Amino acid sequence: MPVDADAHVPDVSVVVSTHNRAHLLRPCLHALLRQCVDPSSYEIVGVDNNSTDDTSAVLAEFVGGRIPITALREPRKGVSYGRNAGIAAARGRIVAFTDDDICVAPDWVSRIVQAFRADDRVDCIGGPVLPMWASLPPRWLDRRHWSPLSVTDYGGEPFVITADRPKCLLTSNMAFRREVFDRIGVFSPDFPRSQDHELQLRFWAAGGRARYLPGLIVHTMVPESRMRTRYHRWWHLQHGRMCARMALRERTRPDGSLRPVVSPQRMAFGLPAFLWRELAEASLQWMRAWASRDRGARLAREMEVRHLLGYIAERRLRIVGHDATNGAGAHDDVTMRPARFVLVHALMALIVGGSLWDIARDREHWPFSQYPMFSSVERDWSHRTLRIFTVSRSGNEVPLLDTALLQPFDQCRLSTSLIGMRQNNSALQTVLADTYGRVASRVVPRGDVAALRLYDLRWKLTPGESTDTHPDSRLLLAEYRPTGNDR
Amino acid sequence: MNPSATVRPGLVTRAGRAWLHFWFAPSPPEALGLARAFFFGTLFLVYASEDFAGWGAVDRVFWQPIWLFRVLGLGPASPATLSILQVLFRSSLLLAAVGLFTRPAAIVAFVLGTYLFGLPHNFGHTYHFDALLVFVFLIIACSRAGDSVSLDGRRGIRPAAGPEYTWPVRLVWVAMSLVFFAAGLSKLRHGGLAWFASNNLAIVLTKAHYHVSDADPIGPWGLWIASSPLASKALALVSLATETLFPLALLGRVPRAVLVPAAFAMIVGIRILMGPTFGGFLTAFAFWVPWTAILAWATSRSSARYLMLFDGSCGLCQRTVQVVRRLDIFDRIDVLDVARCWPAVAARHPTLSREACLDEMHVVTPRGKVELGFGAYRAMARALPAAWPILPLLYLPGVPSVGNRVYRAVARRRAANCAVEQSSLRTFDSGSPHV
Repeated sequence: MPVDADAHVPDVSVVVSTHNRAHLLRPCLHALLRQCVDPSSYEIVGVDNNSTDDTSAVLAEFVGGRIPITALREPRKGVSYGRNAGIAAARGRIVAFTDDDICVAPDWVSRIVQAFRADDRVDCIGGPVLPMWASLPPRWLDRRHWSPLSVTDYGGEPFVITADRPKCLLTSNMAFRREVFDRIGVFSPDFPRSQDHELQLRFWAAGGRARYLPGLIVHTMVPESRMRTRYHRWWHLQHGRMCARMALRERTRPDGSLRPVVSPQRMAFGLPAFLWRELAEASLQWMRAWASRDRGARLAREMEVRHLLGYIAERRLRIVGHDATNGAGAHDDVTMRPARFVLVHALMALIVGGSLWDIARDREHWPFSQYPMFSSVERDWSHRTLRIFTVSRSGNEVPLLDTALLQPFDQCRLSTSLIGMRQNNSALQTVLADTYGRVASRVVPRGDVAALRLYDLRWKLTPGESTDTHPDSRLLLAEYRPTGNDR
Repeated sequence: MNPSATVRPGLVTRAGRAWLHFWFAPSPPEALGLARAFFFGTLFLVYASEDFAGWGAVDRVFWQPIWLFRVLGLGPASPATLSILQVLFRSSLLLAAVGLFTRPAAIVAFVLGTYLFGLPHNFGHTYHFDALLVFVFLIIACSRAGDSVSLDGRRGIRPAAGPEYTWPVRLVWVAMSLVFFAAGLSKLRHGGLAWFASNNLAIVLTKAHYHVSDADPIGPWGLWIASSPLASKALALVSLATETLFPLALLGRVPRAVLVPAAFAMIVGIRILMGPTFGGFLTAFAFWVPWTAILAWATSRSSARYLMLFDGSCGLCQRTVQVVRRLDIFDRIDVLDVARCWPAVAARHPTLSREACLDEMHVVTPRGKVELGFGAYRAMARALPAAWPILPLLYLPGVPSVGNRVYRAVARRRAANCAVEQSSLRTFDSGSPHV
């Protein structure tokens, strides 16, 4: 948003984007209002980022006071949207950022103004964000685990931050000259997290200089929920994903400085080989750390592994084994998310492995069956089967060959089932009774069936002929005569 | 010159690339979508009349649980429950066929299909081919088969070709190859070369006529083959070779062109000669259909255009053109008003006369043939999907004669009633490539 040349232009616009944290916002704004500078030298831009609580009301409370406060509402959820709305509404030559859970020192604004006046070459400044613990932190939660808490402290000496020493400042305690946003753009909505880091990457890549000021102190509330290992595990996975979107590891030299461009990497399994190496090394160090009694050290190693896993999961595997060309004849990279790649191979392993296991062991294992139908060699020109016959009142025997009468069985399945129970006479009686029940329900009139008989039939086969209706021998295995109740 | 450019990659690297190429070389989404639609659509028809509910009423004495049901602790549900489950199953097949909520539908098909297909095997296992269908359900459930040729796909942007549309097809290929290979290997393992070198198949073909399967052979041809030792041994050899060598179909187009039709014919042949019915299994051959090539062919065909010449001063003709426009969903018919743009028509088709074109509907086919009257309507029907169901009828003997009479009767009436109207339809100017 262009700044009106006629209007009074404050030195600093402080942007606070907030979402559903009305209870924290009030003390944050009070601290911002108690700055020991000329009230006309700064303004506050409060952005309600689609909150559903009392945030709008809290912001409204502060509007109209001695310090100019602009209350905005950004309907698009996301801190990048909120901060960008604040930047657009800011009138100051310097745009400072802080968060709703931050308590700034009374000299915060004045230090920012002085720092920019002192060095024209610096376009960004930031300082330490120190913790205010909601309860006693666990012993393992030392400085190695501060990143997920949005807490940072680079020590007591000021230093310049550039692409050669890219130390990330936190948006909760950071300020830019306004024209920086004209050069490098604003916060990227593609980054729901770590958007400040991504902005600084662009800043450094554009040759920007920042300064870390140890005296520019703010404090942040660390709730108990952030002191749990579960939160830290989740945070490192997500942070790894965000870093992958920035290609941070590819852009970082071994000495920590940033490359101007990402150079071609040696690939392995669709990813830069060094990522696999780093994952292997981090995993090894994590395993080694298990021997240590220092839980903080163990967790730090674990978090490094998680960060790498998140990093790899976010990357798309470049599948290199093809020569696909698009319509214009240019080479296309075929890429796939690692999770999908693993899923597909797991599916392959399940289906192919299960089937090959059965094939190797020569066994049946539905649905991994090896389908050994007709596998054995028939040498004898004879046929033997079990077959159920209906016996009518007049004594006629008719084989049950009509599939409609045998339902849900068919001949094949019924034979298989009968063979399995052949030696069990009581089972055969039950089978015949069950079959009678189903046959009788389909035969009209029902009384026509006087009995069911199970025969073991044998035929002497003649090549190319069928004598199905005249078995050479038959043996009665079981007979079932329905009682009055059955009818 | 970069020396590494001339270094031949190692065996492992090449094998890795071949592996990735096989599974993930980009394919158009339509190929997988068409295979999915055909597979689930046909399967829906196959299982529309299958009643699984009866298994719920079968006496428990038949119950011989297979490992999966034993491990999962599953038993036969009541007939009422099975009726509900099979309705849900059929619904999931239909939804997956049309591509509406494709992934949830495929997941439901997988879960219910596993139960319903597996259930009969607990009453006498018969090694049928329905197991493959369970795997295909699972593969489709994990894939992005609903991106194209689907109602789901119509809600989004047409996706580009990619690896997500290749691996599901390839995995179905591999699963089917394992089925055939396992069957062939089992024969060799248990029967050896005697499986085809002896009277084995002749005996099997003869036994098939003793009601041993879920269906009886369709004709006596199995007995004819069984009566000839040479024919039965040759058939056995071809069948065994097809099964055992089937995995070669994964390696290239040529073996695929031979082995896949051979396997399909073998399954059909089993049904005709011996009786066992593998209808569901046959539907999985949809994944072997070269949909990409068919699509390319169809696209080239669909780019060929018809030219409809009509009298723009006639209200009836204008209404006809409006109807044609609505039905021309593939945009294959160009329309030209003869009354207004005759010079353009004459330049492109000098043999036509203006009077004839005003007197009778003319359609120029993509091959340049000029169809008149009823023939013109019939030619346009080829380009209009809505007319495809009745298209064969238009070619029946006698229909063209009747059609021409009806057309002339309408044309005479048109001539009598036609009022000169200015055409408001879209027409091509003389710069159009089609005129």
